[in-house]
Parts: sequence; C-alpha cells; structure tokens
Amino acid sequence: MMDVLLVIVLTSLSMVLTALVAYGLYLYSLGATKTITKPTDEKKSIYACGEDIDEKAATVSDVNLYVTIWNELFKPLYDSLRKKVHTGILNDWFFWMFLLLIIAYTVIVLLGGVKSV
Amino acid sequence: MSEFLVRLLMPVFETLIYPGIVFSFLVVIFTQWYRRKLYARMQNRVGPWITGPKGILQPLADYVKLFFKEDIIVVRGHLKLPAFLLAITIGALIAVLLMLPISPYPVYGSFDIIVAIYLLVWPTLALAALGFLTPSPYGATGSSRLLSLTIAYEVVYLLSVLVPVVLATKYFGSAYSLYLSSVTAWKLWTHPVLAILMAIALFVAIISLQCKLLDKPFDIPEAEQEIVAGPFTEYSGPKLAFIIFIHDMEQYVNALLITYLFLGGPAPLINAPIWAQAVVIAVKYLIVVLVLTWIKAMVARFRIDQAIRIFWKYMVPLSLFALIFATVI
Repeated sequence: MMDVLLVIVLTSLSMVLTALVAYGLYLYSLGATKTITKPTDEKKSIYACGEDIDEKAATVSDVNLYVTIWNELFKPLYDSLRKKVHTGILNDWFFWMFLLLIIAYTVIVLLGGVKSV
Repeated sequence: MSEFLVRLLMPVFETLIYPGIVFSFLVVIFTQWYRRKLYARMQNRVGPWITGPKGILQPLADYVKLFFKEDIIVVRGHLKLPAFLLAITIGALIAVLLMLPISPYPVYGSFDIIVAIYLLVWPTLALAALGFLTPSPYGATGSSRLLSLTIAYEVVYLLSVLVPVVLATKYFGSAYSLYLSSVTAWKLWTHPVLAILMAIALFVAIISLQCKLLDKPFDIPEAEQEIVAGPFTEYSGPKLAFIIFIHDMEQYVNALLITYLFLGGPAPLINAPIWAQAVVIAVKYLIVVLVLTWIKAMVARFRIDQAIRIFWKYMVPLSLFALIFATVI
C-alpha cells in the first residue's frame, strides 16, 4: 500500500498528462479548422432566442446563486420564527433579543465562562 | 533499476492506453451507442443504424464532426479558460480509473477515498463554471440550477459511496481505500444486515448518479424547452465535443465505480480466468447503464424544487441512515 501523498502525486500526474493530451487535441482542432479565436462582428451577439439582451445584464451575480434555495425551499424551516420576530411591535423584538442574549449567556457559562484578565 | 522504471512508467502507460485515454474512448463510444440504442428501443425508434455495423460507429462520427467544426467564442466569453477546464476535468475522470481494480497496477493507499471523492466532484464544478464564463442568460440560469442541484445530489452520492467503504474497512481492513474496498465489498452481500445497508446505498447511489449525469428526470440545468442547453448554450465545435465526452466519461467512471464498489466487480467468479472476470464486469456494467437508461426513458422532468425536495426529504435521510448504521453496527 502506498502513502496517501504518493496517491495524490500519481493521480495529479495522471490528471496533468491527460489534460495536456486533451488540450493538445483542442489546439490541433483549432489549427485544423483555422478558427478565428477573437470574436468577429457576426459573433458579437449572444444567443437569446431573438430577444435583445445586453451582454452586461446577461450575467448573473454570484450573490443570487443560492438565494432561491433559502427563499423558497428552506422557507418552512425558518418561516414561523421569522413571523414571530417580525411583527413590527418593538416589545416583541426586545423579547427575542433578550431571549437571544440569555441563550448566548447560558452557552458562554456552559463553556466555562470568560476568564478575567 | 528496471523495476523502478516500470513502477515509474506504469502510471504513464495506464493514463495514456489502459485503462486511460485510448481504452476509455473505446468504452465511451460503445456505451454511448448502447445507451442510444436502448433509449431508442424504449421509445419505439430504431436509434443509430447507418454508420458502421448496427450504427456502432455513430458516436465516433458525431465526435469527429464536432471536433472539426468551428469553435465559436462569443463576445465577452472567456477565450482560453473553458478549454483548459474541460481538459483538466477529463484528466480527473481518467485519474479515478487508476484507483479502481480495472487498472493493472492500481494506485491506492489508506484514506485515498478522499482523493477519489475530490476527483469525482471536478466535472460538476467545471460544467457549472462553463455557464458563467459566457454572458448568456441561459448559461447563467443553467449553471445556477446546476449549483442548486449540486448541494442536493452530490452530498447524497458521496454519502452512499462511503457506505461500502466504511463497511469494508470495518470488517475486512480495507483502510478507507477505494481499491481495497472494491476488492472486498462483494463479501458484504453475504451478511443479511449488511446486505440491506448495501441495497439502500446502491439504490440511493443510482438515483443520485442519474442526477449527477443530468439525465431525466433531473435534466433541469439543461432543460432544452426552457433554457436551450443551459451552461453549454454558447459552446460549439471541439468544446462541445469535450462536454459530451465528459458526460459520457462521467457515466462510464461512475457506473464502473458502482459495478466494483456495490456489485462486487468480478464476483462470484473471483478465482476464474481473467477473461471470465472481464465478462462478468462487463455484464454488470451494462446492467447499471441499462437501469440508468430505463429511468431516463420512463420519467418526465422534475421542477428544481421537486428534485431538491426528493433528495433532501428522502435520499439524504436514507443515505445518512445507511452510513450511520454502517458506522455503529
């Protein structure tokens, strides 16, 4: 049995070797078809099924990637708590913050408390 | 000295010829033909039948056609990174083959399952990155859907793969090695309780593999009626050939992994001649591909929330139950 570091080295070597072969094939394909690698005028439009979409607006920010999951799928998990906290009444908000403070204090005490300097 | 040279050159031979690039390409062509033919028969069609005997060379013809077509790079699209990512991803999938018993001199060590898991996640992340490297709204939407699905199925698939590895390590001392677990995992089916755990893990692995391959009912990221081709919309020519090759390679590598890790590889002909073992492995591999194709032909596409709900509501508890039970039993 090999050391796991040797496994990592050998698999990485295999990865790099295959990648070199594949990239070489890609370059050969480019040469064979004499492809223009810079976009020409007729390629300066994105495929949008006939709609006129600005290229800058077409990209999605990475902030939005997981937002659907939290907003839609996991909503039942935290929705009841959200409704209780967000009533608009200040007393409710204070109650929940006070509760949070008590929980935080309890956790700190259980973990051994804060040592005085 | 000569032995040292052999040990040094063997990974190179394995990467380039067997079970590496050349052998994988042949298997990929055969598997794609087999799958297309099965899928067509299930839909009452003929499937590929012109190129080569019974159309067996049709996948090769498709690859050659794509490979020599123009590589169109859209404005604001990245020039070099997509091809580089695709090349590295093919490398990651070939490297997994070196860790399986199909390799003549397998690369293995204790806890190398972590390396295998890392390599198996590469294609998903690379294909998701492809969508963001072009300014297409369909690409971005497809990649976003793919990443959303990833947090569901990738966890489940890896948990289910860990079940036979943990069990084999516990009972046969395979030291969390993919190769040693694959060699000994067939014995787990002889114990009734362990066989139940293996069956659960196998079921979950097949379903999540269907999602990993982006086949129906989980082809949400490349749903052509909604978002054209998802992350691959703006890709053409050799890059599209690479993308299709990666899909086929992923199917081949993961189906082979399931054949070895869950179905016992050459078992029950462990001590038979090598050709008999190869036949058994080929039959099991083709059965796995048949099941995947059968699911693809049978079920319509889910919505993304339905797919994620299925995984988090049913598959995650099932795979966690199997893994926790495998750990404590």
